[in-house]
Amino acid sequence: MIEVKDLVFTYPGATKPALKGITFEIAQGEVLGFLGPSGAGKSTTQKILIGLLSSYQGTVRVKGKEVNDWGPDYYEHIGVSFEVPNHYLKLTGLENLNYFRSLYSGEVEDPMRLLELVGLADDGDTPVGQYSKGMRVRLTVARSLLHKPELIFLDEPTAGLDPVNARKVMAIVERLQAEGRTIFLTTHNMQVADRLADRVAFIVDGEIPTIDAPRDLKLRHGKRQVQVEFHQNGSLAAQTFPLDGLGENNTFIELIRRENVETIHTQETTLENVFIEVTGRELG
Amino acid sequence: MTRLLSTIRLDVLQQWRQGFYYAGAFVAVIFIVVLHQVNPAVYPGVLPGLVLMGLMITTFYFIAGLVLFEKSEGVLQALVVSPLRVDEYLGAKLVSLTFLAMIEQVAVVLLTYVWRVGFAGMNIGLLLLGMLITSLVNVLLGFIVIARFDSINEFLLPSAPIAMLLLAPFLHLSGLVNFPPLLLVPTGGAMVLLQWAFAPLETFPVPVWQSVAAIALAVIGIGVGYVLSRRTFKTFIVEGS
Repeated sequence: MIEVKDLVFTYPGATKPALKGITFEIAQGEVLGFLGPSGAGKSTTQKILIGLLSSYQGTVRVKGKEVNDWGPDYYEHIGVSFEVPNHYLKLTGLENLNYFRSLYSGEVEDPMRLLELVGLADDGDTPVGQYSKGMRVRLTVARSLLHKPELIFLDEPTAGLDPVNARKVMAIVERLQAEGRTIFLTTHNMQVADRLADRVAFIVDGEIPTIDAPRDLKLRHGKRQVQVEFHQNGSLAAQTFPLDGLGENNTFIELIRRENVETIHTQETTLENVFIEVTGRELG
Repeated sequence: MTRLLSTIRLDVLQQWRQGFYYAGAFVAVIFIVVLHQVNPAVYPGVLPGLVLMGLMITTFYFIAGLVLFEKSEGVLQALVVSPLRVDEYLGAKLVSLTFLAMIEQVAVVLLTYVWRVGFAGMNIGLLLLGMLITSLVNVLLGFIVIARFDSINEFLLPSAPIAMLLLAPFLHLSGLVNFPPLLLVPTGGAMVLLQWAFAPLETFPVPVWQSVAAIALAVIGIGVGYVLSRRTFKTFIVEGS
């Protein structure tokens, strides 16, 4: 669906390139999490992919066609949900969706169905100026789906949301994923990427040092160990065991038989730890 | 065509809800009240200038307000990743604001000149054409300027000399100064048409060929302004998103 090869981009007047020859691909139906700290090149990459920055070097093909060769019809095929909600505040949620719906020439969704999908069916006739941040974010996601796009760009879809709203948005993304849509997910939230992305790309200083499935990354960079926490003489104690041959490890077996076990955890690492280990940087 | 029509409808709705129609009505009422205090004999001399000023407020300044609302709400960012074409975006602004400006100033003329003098001595066709050219020039120029700024404060400083420049052809056309290059300002042709609507061209203090040239330059100015507006949209709206 997306092929990016040796992509270089330098902003006018800048001395250093913002992107230094990045290469990646996204398959049809895949969710790629694009992770990196502020200023790493996430937004620049997304702007190039959605056709807003044209003076790049390298190859950027979407649906087999160079992005710069697509005309305005490109936007009939892609949906974009920006990090900061952007709506006509004096118009209602339904009026906003109806206007944007009228811009597409192909098959479009029923705006009321989309409002139901994002949990705003009862607020369709309310001016967006009266919406909370979470409602506006959900309306942004709904707008990006109006024309049933095959490729969706989601920029920080849970940023600034409370846990309930964040969960709602993630459920919507999972539903799109199940429908086979291709999703380019830009985020610096590791939990979101871990839950939603089939693969994650780490971007730092305009370069991508690693692209892989979150599970594989965590396993590769974690320790093949099990840690057992248990109560002993009134205090909490912990002991680790190699994962290999655990079933024949008599010390382990004896411990879980004899002691009052509190927790047992394998010692795979978190995506955040992998990011720090691979890039030497923290997400902030 | 559907996109253009729905965007015109949206712009009119936005202008209504943002209070632009009330502001336009307020300007018209002020003009009407003032004009009713003076002798109708002076209308042919003062009406063209007042109409021009009213149109400038409703087009040059209102386009600035409208684009600033769109910038602050972030909707421009959403529009540039939709199938809406730049011609449709600009076209909707030109149609909706020209419509608002013209109904406002037509109301002024109807409720002053026509009310007190009648239709005698007035050429409605030339008046409407003058209003149309004035509005188009001002909307395009206002867009070219406001696209570069993010707040009304930043816009107001450069807008003052630009507004004065737009009124400058009046100095030559009224005979106050003899400086034909002022007719290069595209509002010159619109001024000629607005004056011509109330007085014969032959009575102007400048040669007839200069008046005709000013009208031609105004039409060319609209074309140039449109091309510049398209470039401005790409540079400051699309790539600035």
